[in-house]
Parts: sequence; C-alpha cells; structure tokens
Amino acid sequence: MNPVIIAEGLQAFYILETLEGKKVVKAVNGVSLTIPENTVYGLAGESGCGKTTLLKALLGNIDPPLRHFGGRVLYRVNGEYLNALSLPQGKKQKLRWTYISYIPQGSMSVFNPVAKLRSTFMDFLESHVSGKARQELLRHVEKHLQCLGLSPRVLDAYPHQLSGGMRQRVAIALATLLKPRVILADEPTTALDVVAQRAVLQLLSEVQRELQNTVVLVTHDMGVHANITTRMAIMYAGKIVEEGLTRDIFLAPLHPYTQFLIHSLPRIGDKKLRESAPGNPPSLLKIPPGCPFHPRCPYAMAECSEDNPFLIEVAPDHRVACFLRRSAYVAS
Amino acid sequence: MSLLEVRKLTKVFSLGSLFSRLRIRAVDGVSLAVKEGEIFTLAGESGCGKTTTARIILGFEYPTSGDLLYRGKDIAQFRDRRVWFREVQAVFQNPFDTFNPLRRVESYFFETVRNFHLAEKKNEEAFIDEKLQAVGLSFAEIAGKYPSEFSGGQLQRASIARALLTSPSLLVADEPVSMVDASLRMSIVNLFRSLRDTLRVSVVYITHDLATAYYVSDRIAIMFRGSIVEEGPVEEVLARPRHPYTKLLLESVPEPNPERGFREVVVCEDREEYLRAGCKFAGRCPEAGKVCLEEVPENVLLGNVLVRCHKYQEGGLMV
Repeated sequence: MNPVIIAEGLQAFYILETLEGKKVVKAVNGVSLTIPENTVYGLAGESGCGKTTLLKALLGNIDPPLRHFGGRVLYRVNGEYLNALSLPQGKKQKLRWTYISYIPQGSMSVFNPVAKLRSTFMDFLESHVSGKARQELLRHVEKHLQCLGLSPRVLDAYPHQLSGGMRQRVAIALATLLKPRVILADEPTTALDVVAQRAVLQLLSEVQRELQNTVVLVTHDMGVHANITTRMAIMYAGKIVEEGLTRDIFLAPLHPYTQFLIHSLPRIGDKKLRESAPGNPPSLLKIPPGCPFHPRCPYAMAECSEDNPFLIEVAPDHRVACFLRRSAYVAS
Repeated sequence: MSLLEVRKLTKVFSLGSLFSRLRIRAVDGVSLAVKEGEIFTLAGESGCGKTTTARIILGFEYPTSGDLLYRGKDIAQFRDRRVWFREVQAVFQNPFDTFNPLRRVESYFFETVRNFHLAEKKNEEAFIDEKLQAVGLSFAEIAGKYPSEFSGGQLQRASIARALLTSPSLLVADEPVSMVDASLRMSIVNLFRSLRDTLRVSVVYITHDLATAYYVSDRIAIMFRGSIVEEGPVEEVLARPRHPYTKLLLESVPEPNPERGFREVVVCEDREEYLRAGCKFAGRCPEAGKVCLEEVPENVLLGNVLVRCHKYQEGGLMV
C-alpha cells in the first residue's frame, strides 16, 4: 500500500486579531495521517472540528489568517516525496489540478455566476495546459463531460440554470479534467437531497475506479462514509481520534466519540430510542485540556483531563487516541 | 376531527418573462390531514414542493387554490393573522439564519411575549424560563448572549423554545436537524418526540432524510414534483414501499452499513418533469407503461396506505 499524502504532526492555527487581543484557533492540532493510493478515504467530524482547515493544509494552501505552526505534508509524486508546504509557488501551481485537485464546499459559489460554464472551463484549461489550440481543448472538455454522463450542453448554461446536484457534478468534472492523483472533496453532497446525493457519490466513485486515484471525502454524514469509503479518520476538536478501515470502525468503534456517532444513527425499521453524545462540541478557541472529549465522555477518568492520549494502533490497522484502549496496546 | 386539514392545495409559480412564461405547479392538488399529537413527515427530494406546502401552512405564501382547515374552520376566516400564528409556529433549517447575528437571542423571546401579551411584565422571565426548560435550556444560559456564542444544537433548541412560547398546537419544522452537528442531531429529534408526548404538540416534519423520518414520525407522505405519491403510517410505507418513487428514495438513503453499497440508478433533474402530462415519475420509473405517460394516476387506498400509481387498483396490484 503506497501512500500518496502523508501528514506528520501537522499544526495549523488561525490567528485572529480582535479588540480583546490575539486569539488562536487551533483548527489542526497535531494531525498525522497516511493516505494510501487508490482508495476513497473518508474524513468525518462535526462542523467546526477543523476538517476543512485540514484539507486546506493538505492542499498546501495555508494563507493568513491561517498559519502553519509545525509538522509537514508530503506528496508522493512519481516515487519521490515532496514537502508540500515548502514548495516554490511555480511548482505548487504545476501540481495543482494535475496532481492534486479540490472540490470546494457549496458548488453555488465555485463558479462565476455571470459567466457561462464554457468560459470557466476554458479559463481553467488555458492556465493549466499549454501548447494546445482552443478548439482542441474544447473538444477535450466535451469528451470528458460525456464520459461522466453529462451533456456537453451544460457548457452553454450559466451556473444558476443548473440544479444543485448537476452543478456539483460539473464541479467534479472540472476537478477531474486533468486526471489528478488525489481529489480532495469537501462536503460535496451536503446541500443535496438523497437522490441527487446518490448521483454525485456514484459519479465520484466511478471517477475513482476509472483513474485508480485517491479521493479524500470530507463529510459529517456517517451513512455516506459507510457506503463509499474504504478507510476513514474521525476528527474531533482539531485532532484525529480514530483511524482505520471503514468496516472496522462501523462494526467495532473504539473511541467513545465514534461510538456515539455510530450508535446514534437512526436506521429504517428500528424505532428504539437513540441518544446523542451529551454536552456540546468545544470551541476551537478553548479546547479543553487533556483529551478534548473528556468533558462529554461518560467513561472519563482522572488522567483524561490532564494528559492527551496519542493515536496508537490498538488492533491490526485500527488506531485510536483514548486511554481506555491503552490496555489493549500494552497487551500487544 | 383533524387538527389541520389541507384540501386540494395548489401553488403555481410563473417563471421567465412576459413572452416565454413557464408555469410550474410547485404544489399540485395536495390533500393531507394532521391529527392532534402526531408527527407527520413530508418527505421528498428538492423541488418536490414540500417546503412550499410548509410555507403555505405557515401563512408565508398564499395558495393559488385549495383550502386549509384548522379544527374544521377555514383559516381564511381568521381575520387576525395573529390568531393563526398563535396556533402554528415555525422551526427553520439553519438556526444561525433564524436569529439575527447582531441581536441578543433573548430579545426574540421578549418580543414574542409582548406581541402576543403572553405574560405580565414582571413574570416575563419566569415564563420564558419555563419554555426553555421544556427544551433542556434555561434563561440563565441564554441571557445576554448573541447567536455566535451558541453551538448549533443549543441554538436550534432555543429556536424551538421560541416557537413554543405561544403554546402552539402545531409546529412546522423544515429540515430542523440537517444543519445541527452530527453528535447532537438525535437530541433535537428526541426533543420533537418528547414534545409530542408531553405537550401533545403536532409536528409537520419536513425532510429528505428517511432514516430520521422513520425514527420520529407517526405518519409520512412522500411527495414528488408537487403531488403526494404515497401516504400512510411510517412503519407501513417505509417497510413495504408501494410506489416506485418511494422505493427509489429508500434505496438512495446511505445506510450506515459498510457491507451494503449503492445500486446504480438513473437520475434525471429536468424541469420538464413538472410539465409531464401523465404520471410525473414516468420518465424515471423502471416499471412505467404506456398509460403512465398519458394519464394522471388516481389515489388508490391499499389498507391504510394511499398510493398514486397506475400499478395498483383498489385492493391490490393491477392485473
């Protein structure tokens, strides 16, 4: 299993200047991840846990007020590792879309609302592909859209003329145009209803199968993760609390937070009372000391409020950051 | 008697200019009845008319035709719309959009109390506190705070408490949990269940998430392109779906079970579907026949489930 992206102890904080002084939002607080080739990799967590910021950092797109505080991100390009956060601007631009591409959240604001999609696609190609005639590029776009089951007629439409699901699929078409090795998709289906969501997910997994590349899918919908990801990581308050094969996480979640997430999911055919986790998710401005989940955790012990548990492998290919699972680690 | 009865509700929106006008029947002859103390779900994909139906019930929008009856009385007869607002209250999708970010949350509570003369000046706080207790908050927790100081779950609770101020008999909740954090979602859904059981509040719950709909509701109506295609007790409709569209919708729910993937499906997002002559689902339906393209299906009653599909006739499958 070859990695495509490795994050090592990554820290990225927002520094906000307010009237009351400087505030530090610890959005990505020591994340280590290895994302393998040819998979759909899921990243789950609720709003405000830092998933979008983590994606930005993985994309090498750290702009103020977001700042890089430590750790690194490695891309594996043609067998050699590149440090994504210290690449020169030109090199970074070259990798963008051809090696790594990004499907942002909310497809409505992705496209220029006053330009036809044709000109968005042409702008995109003209700045990333050199030495080809306009007509040739246009034919390439049309062929690509057809491959994805979209009519080339969409090129003549303005973004607002398409439905949300259609627009999201066009955004996927744009992100996959140059056959990238990694696609980062940030909540691609959140604004869509279940039927349109299914079409978008279907398209994403088809593209992944076709290109044999990696899709990093960020969503808070555990049902989506269960259906299309093979590995996943659970993020809470800027940290990864559990990581492993999706199947293992769903069948035997080890972190109390993951257990709450999975056991609170309603299922059709079952009306048993389901409880969600007590308390509220913490603000990234004031992350509780120790394990960030301890104020909400029913199993919290004294040390949970003092020390922060590391992410350790407690079962084959299944890592968790929780003191409760330490015995399993010691035993092995 | 039903608490709220909707009869042959139709809403037509005109699109385009004077010369190329497109008339879309966003709600097309919808009839439904909500009983006292029940949670009634309206489910369907975007553009099926569920939100428009809700907005008409709430009085935000006037129907093109059709009647709304509240406890048997036509609501057009409520001269003072405040009387209607006292009985029916709304809970919106995104609590951060519900409240103005520059206003303190408590000000909404005081405003509603004063508008409806719900309590004496000196008892206002106690009155508000009582309603907040019903949703698991207290006045002390919201006092002096702006919306940004709450988590999504807390703010949605506050929004439900505000709706409860007038002691309404019906809440209309449009996707009330889709913007709430995953770990808190079930606590909001459970809140609707407990409000139904303790205060006998009826809820019109609007969603496309069939899993929470199954969990929370008593009856469900599945809408497609402006009409209800299947309606009945939720256990019955979702366990044994009759209409091909209900089957499609059910299959699209991403089940939290990694052993089972999606089946491939045809997706069509045409505006033409609104204008289709026969059954509006015919273009996507795997079982569509000739009659489906030509004639609009009638309501067929199968036990306690109402289905609108040419496949069925009174008592069972068409032979």
